[in-house]
Amino acid sequence: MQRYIIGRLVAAIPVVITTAVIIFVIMRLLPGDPVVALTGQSDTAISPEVQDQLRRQWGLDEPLWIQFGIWLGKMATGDFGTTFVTKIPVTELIGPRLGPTLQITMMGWIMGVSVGLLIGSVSAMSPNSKKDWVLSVASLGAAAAPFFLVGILLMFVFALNLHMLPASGYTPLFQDPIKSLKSTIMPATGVALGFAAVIGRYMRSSLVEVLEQPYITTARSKGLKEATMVRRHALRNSMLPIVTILGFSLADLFAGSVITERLFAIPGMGRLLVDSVAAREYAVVQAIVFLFAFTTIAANLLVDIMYATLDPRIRLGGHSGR
Amino acid sequence: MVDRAAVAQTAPVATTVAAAPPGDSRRGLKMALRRFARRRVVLVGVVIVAAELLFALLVPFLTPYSPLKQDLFATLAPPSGAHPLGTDDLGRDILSRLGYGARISLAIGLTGSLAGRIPGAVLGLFVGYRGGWVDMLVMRFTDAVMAFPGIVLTLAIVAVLGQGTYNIIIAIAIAGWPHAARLIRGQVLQARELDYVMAIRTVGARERRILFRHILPNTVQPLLVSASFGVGGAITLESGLSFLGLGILPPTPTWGSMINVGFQYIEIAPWLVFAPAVMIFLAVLGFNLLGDGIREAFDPYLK
Repeated sequence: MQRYIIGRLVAAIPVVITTAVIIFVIMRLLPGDPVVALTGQSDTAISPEVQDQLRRQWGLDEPLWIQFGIWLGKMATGDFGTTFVTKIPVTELIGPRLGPTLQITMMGWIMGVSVGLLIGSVSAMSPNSKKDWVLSVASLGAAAAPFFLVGILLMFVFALNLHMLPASGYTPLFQDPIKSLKSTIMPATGVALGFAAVIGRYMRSSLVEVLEQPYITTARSKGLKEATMVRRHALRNSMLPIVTILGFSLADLFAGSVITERLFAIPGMGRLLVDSVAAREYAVVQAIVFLFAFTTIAANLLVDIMYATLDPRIRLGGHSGR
Repeated sequence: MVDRAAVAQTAPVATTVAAAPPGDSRRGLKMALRRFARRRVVLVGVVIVAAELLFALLVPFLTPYSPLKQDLFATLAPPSGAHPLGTDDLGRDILSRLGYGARISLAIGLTGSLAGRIPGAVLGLFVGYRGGWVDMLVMRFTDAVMAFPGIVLTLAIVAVLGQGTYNIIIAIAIAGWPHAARLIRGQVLQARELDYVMAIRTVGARERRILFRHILPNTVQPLLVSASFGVGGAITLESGLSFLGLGILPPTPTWGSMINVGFQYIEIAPWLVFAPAVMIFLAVLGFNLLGDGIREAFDPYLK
């Protein structure tokens, strides 16, 4: 097991570096001279001497791969640079934004997984029944609804018409847990709904397949109650394929936070990203995009390890996983 | 895995292998079409997609208003006989904007999906067949690209390239190709091990012929499915970007930017948001159902 974990860790390192390369390349695709782009001034407004000085100051006179190395090395030590105009360290800017995004993402994740597993199991236990049909149609609808649609609909119903929840703003979890939940439940649901639908559909097909296995027939013929049999014998095995999609799905949840944070005026990472794009604060954009990607890779790694603990075939060799 | 070089050496004579006669494949297609049409859910998808396309095409005949013409005496008008879906904050006709917006949103959806999936599929076909270190490198690269949330990657690209239709299509394509590459690679890996492909190889078919004649057809159906879902994904991405104010520039109407503007007036004029919202939802649903339908129609194991 230990060897397996170390192997996965080592395999993840080049992927992380590749994401950094991708971000670096995208940012260097800025049209024109970086000095011009970064200062937002035209060529003629800055004297050539000042341009050269800025280039040296930002290390832009070094070859690209050295620039990349320096940038990566700084990031590894937690230095993401400073904002262009106000010279605030990017880490200081991002720090307070982590809380809201993590809270909404985690709430969305938990809601999505639990609701998805539930509706998937209900569907699978009576396939092609009316219940199954209703749940399938609902899932199709939920999967087709973009994040902001769900968010707007929730806001319209629960905040603007029923006045049950605040339409915008965020209360930190440790300041007032109840208020905090109220301020995040709608964005989290917006993020979770489509995710739940996807998990539900996977769970349904997986459990249907498992329920056709001979050992289930054996369990049935022993006279086990259907519910007990599903709980004790079928669920664990049918959840295996679901585990594999949990890692990459975190990327989708982060994507949801970008939209819903804007919608509900929540001061999280997604909102900071959108604001930074609009303000052309590239250091902040780089940092946030990298953090999102890095977290997704880390989650994937965790999922791989979890998968191996659930399925001994993986860690004992056989095929190498993904 | 079979050593391909060895197979090629022991079978230098290219025997013509009887591929499925044309009549057969046509019958297969007909059966698939019949299965496709029998599913009611699929028909719903076809009807939705057709209706949206027709709406986009015929919008000049449905409303006399230009999507850009402002009428500052009739701002935020509720739905009425003159404006069936009301007007926006500048007095522009919502129905008209919805229709012209459909042209842009659907065009970006279709081209954005295909522009990513086709190169992705070609790459997947190539690395899946070739295998080895190229395959491993490309797969790790797709891992890295897929670690970025779709909208975050497109945001970053649009931030750099600038807003505008073509840049958004490029951004969507860049976010979309890894999905197709992985999917098609997986299909190729499976198809290579199929009994009949082994059989053809044993009788000495050339590698290129095996790839194009016998493996490629196996990848068409999943690619169609993926492209269909991709259209929905691309429409979602574009409308998300436009909703954030970072997509198509105003005054060009797109569904996402209409929601962005309408959101400020949601309490007094909710139709500004809900009209385009319904269009986006239906478009994504329609293409998803279409994708589902294609998958089931071509799956010989389903009824």
